[in-house]
Amino acid sequence: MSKRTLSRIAWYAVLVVVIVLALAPIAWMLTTSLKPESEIISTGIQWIPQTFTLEHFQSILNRYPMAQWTLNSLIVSTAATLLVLLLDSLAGYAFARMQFRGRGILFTIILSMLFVPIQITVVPLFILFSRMGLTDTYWAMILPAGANVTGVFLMRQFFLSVPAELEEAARIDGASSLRIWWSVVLPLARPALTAVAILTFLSTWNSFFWPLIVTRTDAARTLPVGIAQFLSLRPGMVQGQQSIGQSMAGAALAAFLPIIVFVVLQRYFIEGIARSGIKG
Amino acid sequence: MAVLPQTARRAAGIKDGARTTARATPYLFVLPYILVFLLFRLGPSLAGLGISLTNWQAVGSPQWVGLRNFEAMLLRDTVFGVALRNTLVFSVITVPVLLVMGLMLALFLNQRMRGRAVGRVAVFTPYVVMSTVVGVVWTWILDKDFGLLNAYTGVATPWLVSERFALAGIILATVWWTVGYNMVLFLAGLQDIPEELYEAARIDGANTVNAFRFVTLPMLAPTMFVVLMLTIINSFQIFDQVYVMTSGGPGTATLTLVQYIYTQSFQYQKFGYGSAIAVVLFLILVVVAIFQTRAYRRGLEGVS
Amino acid sequence: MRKPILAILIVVLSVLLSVGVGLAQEPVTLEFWGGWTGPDGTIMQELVDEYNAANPGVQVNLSVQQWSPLFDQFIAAGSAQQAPDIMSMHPQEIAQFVELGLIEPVTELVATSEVYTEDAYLPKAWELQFYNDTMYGLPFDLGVHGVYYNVDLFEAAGIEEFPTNQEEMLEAMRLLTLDADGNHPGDEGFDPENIVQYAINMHTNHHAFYQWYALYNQLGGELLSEDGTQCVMDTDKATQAWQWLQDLVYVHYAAPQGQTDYARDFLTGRTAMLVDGPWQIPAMEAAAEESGFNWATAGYPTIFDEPATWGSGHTFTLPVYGDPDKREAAVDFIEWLGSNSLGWLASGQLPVRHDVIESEGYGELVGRDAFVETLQYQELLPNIPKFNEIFAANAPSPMNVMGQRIILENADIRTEVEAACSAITGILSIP
Repeated sequence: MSKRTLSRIAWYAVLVVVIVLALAPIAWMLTTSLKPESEIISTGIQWIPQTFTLEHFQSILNRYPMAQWTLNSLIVSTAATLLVLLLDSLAGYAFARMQFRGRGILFTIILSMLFVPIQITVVPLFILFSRMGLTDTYWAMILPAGANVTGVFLMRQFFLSVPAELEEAARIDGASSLRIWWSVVLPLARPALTAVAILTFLSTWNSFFWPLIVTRTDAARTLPVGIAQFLSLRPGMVQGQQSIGQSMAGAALAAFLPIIVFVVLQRYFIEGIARSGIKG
Repeated sequence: MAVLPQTARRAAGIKDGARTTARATPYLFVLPYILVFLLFRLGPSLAGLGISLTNWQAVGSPQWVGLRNFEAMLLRDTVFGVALRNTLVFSVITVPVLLVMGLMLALFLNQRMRGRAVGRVAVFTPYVVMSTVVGVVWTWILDKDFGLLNAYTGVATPWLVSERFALAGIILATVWWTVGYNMVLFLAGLQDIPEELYEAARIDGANTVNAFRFVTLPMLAPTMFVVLMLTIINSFQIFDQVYVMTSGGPGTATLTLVQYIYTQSFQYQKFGYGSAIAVVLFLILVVVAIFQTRAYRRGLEGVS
Repeated sequence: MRKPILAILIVVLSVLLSVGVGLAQEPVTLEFWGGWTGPDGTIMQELVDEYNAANPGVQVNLSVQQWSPLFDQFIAAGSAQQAPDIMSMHPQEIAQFVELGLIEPVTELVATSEVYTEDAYLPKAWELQFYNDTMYGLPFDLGVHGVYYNVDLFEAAGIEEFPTNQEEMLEAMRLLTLDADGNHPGDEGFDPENIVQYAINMHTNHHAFYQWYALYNQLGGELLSEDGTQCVMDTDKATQAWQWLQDLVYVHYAAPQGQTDYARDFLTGRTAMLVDGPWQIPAMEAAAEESGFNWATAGYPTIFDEPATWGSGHTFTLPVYGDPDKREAAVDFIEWLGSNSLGWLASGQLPVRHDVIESEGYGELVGRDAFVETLQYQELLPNIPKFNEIFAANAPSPMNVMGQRIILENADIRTEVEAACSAITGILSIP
């Protein structure tokens, strides 16, 4: 065998190991969720259940409104993403292309918030939303997500990197700034918008600390909070019987949607995330 | 960069006719964001800073205590010291591991081989699973008696139920969850390196190792900087997995700064004290960022 | 030309406001908050549904989430002078919320109520609702630690009577602990590395210090000074109580080290006994029905001098900032819950009303009696304003840290007890 073939084989061997390690925990979650409880705690490693059962999925769906939590998460994440796209493409465009007093200082203040842990804002936000009577609503999660910093930064970086000729042309044709932004700039900014959309969606979808504090009922409770509050396997977190099968079934249900979406749209995901790092 | 906006402004000024509109336009563009930013980010941050100087249980009027929260935290609160230490240990281990593993995976999956796309998707998949799900799943995988990991190693390691191993358990789960993110950032950096540079290096007789050292690494420095910064910021703010897997226990073995903020503010309802810890965390992050930026600049000077 | 700015401002503000005001209501809606995240939450929801169906003019909305975030919301709402109409809590948490000015006395309600009368309730349940000689809570249930045991395993070990003192307990536990070769601890060739059946569970969470608190009370120990300003733990007694628990794991091999799922281990026969609260009863009933699991209950054993067992319970309180117009409806609902509490017993929680205990429906339930009989020995953690900082579960509170270090790390008991005590005094000394 040639050296080339050998190194190919080695490469594929490593690839298999990498894939297995990356996916094993997810596979184990799925396997466990499909086993009867007695089989779950039998010693020895059973990757394929001896008896398949959907009982855990049935009981978890009976007991907890997982569909409602998922819907809440979807609504909040989608609304937050749209809000961020709107606000950040406007602001990012202005910061990159327009000259105005206070631009530098404003942008510096915004960027500096990257280092402010959101935990410092949680208490005042909590009081603010309580006073507005908006705790336990979608708004309480959507609005703070709109104040995201990376989106503005990424949009600005993007607009700095593209030439302004098209905009100039439109301006000479007499279009207003808002019109230029809408019909010339935004279509151009598709890659950056995709990146910001994916990042925002992922971070809102995954957001836990703030929704944990601000939601109270199933009407607003998002998926991460529902999972942590009702399916935790940590002893003492949920009083009463803890069923591993049920927790894994819930986890599998929560993981299913994003994994499917990711696999279908993986090209956009990976490009989108990649873009967030390039122009540091 | 400076030329374009000015032309733009002049063009806008001429075409719109009204000078005031032209001057107001930029503000109109930033206003919606700034409003939301002020109300839900900057405002609350400053208010948090204010609360850190008070003794406040959210009900009744806050009692001004000056820097006494900070004094108590730094001089008397041994638990704060433990939380700080745990956070540092967690970061000192996690950050290099995530950096090196992310880079290695990126180099590996950047080879022109069939199947690398599958590898990239697999490595990134954990990151799209939400952190609390990761916590629940890993609690099960790390179960002392029936967990998958101990079944394979054959040793009943008390992962989450001992002070020695609990943090390691959290680190394992975190690395698995986030390494794909770093990999993707590195992949992007690698793809930005012009192929000619490698060709030039090859003509100069450089082998793979040398090409990596003299082409890849220096060209990757900006990406490295970003990834390092992001990883550090995230590591210092670890919370979700800890909350779900251990709540900071056993004892204080996995108590991190953010978990401690949660404990003080939201389990003990000591909002002033909790905010004070958050302020300290902010200061730490700023110091780290300054040091890192300096090191980075010096590194750039060294290269050029 | 400020118009566009103004327009945007107005739009943003009006969106904010309209959402805040848009809580339209036709029937009276009552907000009812509780922390029942286990199967008990489902049962409470069923009760609420039943009430809503019977009272079309009232709509009770039950909010369930873990107690700690629930209390945070209660406090934050209070800072905005808002509150649910009925707030649930544990009796030992009353002091905090009284001191925060968030709940009000129920004296007037009790003076006129036909449901909440002193003679209808177990004396213990009634007296726990007082703080500074004023009644703030309406009792709903109680829970104490007791022992579940596996009848088949007891028979196999030849134990006929459930052990009642330290000596009998030790001997029973020896007989119930088996290695793979069927040897008991103390037998020749017993292999502690290869135990297949343990006698009893050992909590590795906050219930470890709950158990300790009962044992410490069995020794007559006091935790806090009369005025609640310092820790007065008797180091010898505290050590003795912990020693019993620690030795079960590290000396007698009667309990597994680093246990995580107590109920599971008991139901699978890995442990022959389970110390826990009555909320495990539904799981036992389900296992008995499904696989004929043969279980019984006993009161928490008296290991030392006097009987004592850790306990808690659920209590309804009336928030100060509840809507005064809805107070009447709220009271009607709590009274309904109080007089229809039989349904709640499916959650395992223990009845506190004489008429429920004497009812036929209660007589048909199994496993409760052993718990109910020990209610009189129930020891609640001290009802003090700084309760959370000292006793919080799932937090690095001094008591929790002490318990986990002693049980999981086999740490030196005296050192841990002294450390916890000085931490507690430190907390109490801050005004």
